Amino acid sequence: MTSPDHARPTDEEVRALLADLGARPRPEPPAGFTGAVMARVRAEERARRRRPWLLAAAAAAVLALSLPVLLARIGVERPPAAPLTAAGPPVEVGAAGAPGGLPAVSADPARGELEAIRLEMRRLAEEMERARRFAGEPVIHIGGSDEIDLFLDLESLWPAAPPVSGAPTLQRASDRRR
Amino acid sequence: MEGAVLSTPLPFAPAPAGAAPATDAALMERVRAGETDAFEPIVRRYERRLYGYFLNATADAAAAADLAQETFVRAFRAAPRYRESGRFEAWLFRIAANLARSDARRRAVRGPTLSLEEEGIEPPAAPSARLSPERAAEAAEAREALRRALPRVPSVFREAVLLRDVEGWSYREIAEMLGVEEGTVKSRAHRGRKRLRDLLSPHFRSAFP
Repeated sequence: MTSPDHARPTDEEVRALLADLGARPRPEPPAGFTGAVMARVRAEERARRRRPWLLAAAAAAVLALSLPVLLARIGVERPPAAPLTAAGPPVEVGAAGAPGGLPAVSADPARGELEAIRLEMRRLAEEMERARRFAGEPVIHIGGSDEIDLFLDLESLWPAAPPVSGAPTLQRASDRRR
Repeated sequence: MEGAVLSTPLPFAPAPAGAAPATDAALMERVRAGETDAFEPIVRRYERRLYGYFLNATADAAAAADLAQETFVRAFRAAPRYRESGRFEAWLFRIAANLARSDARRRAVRGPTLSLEEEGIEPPAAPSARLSPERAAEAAEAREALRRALPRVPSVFREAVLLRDVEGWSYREIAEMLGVEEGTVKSRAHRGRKRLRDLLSPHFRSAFP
């Protein structure tokens, strides 16, 4: 009686076949294989050497563009002066006819905040507008190499400039950045 | 005092004519020091072995060349992290085994590719002077059947079989390469061979009557 395993090779036979495969001369890789590997390796090395410079350039560009925004924000978040601590009904400080001629900042904390946000938005809009005029177009090429170009899309930083005059719209600080 | 002997080769000193070839560790040290060209002897040293490994794993010449190339590029990229704590070859094969596994996953999704025969790749002939023509033909037929069967073995079992029985690594070395227990490797290799026995059955009777 023949078992169904009759034609199956044994474990040893399979091992012998596999060992034979390993003992045979290895096939040659395609022509130019070594050259192709070394070309990729050299490209890697070039990219590795450029990387710190590119990162530094990108960081400097981002810092240069965001510095005015940060400065404006720091200026807004500075604690307001004495009149805000006064008790009683809200008093407009710096309004028309008030001494000092400063922009109007309300003594009411909520109104003061609103005014501060308006001022901040106006300043940011002006900064971005200046940056746009400087670049001539909303996408600025800030450097790069033969392989990589670095662009800064001003539209993506500030999708739509808020109106400088007229009724300001409120926007949460966390929504301003993309 | 007799001539001063350097315990380690100078990093950029070219090997004098007739000198023993630089070790893998010495070459990798030079690569780490920024000498990219020192990587070329490493590529030449291992390209056939890696290409053969991937060819056995995939039965796809183009994929084998791509995977072997990717292995070298990743090894170069990881050179700063390479430490001479074990055999360089084992470190290289660890990268290769990871790539083979990723490729197997992609192939499982994509489906089978052309066989070596269909691609016109002729596996190198072994010296068969001691075999009769009939016996040599049988052996060649069995090898071809094995090459066709290997890609059909599940990848985790196949990598254990290839690394152990074809590439000749010890179970312990394979376990370190794959990051699994030694017993797991043994079990996978056993199951891989069992699967091969099933797949070779239809061909084996004719090859070894």
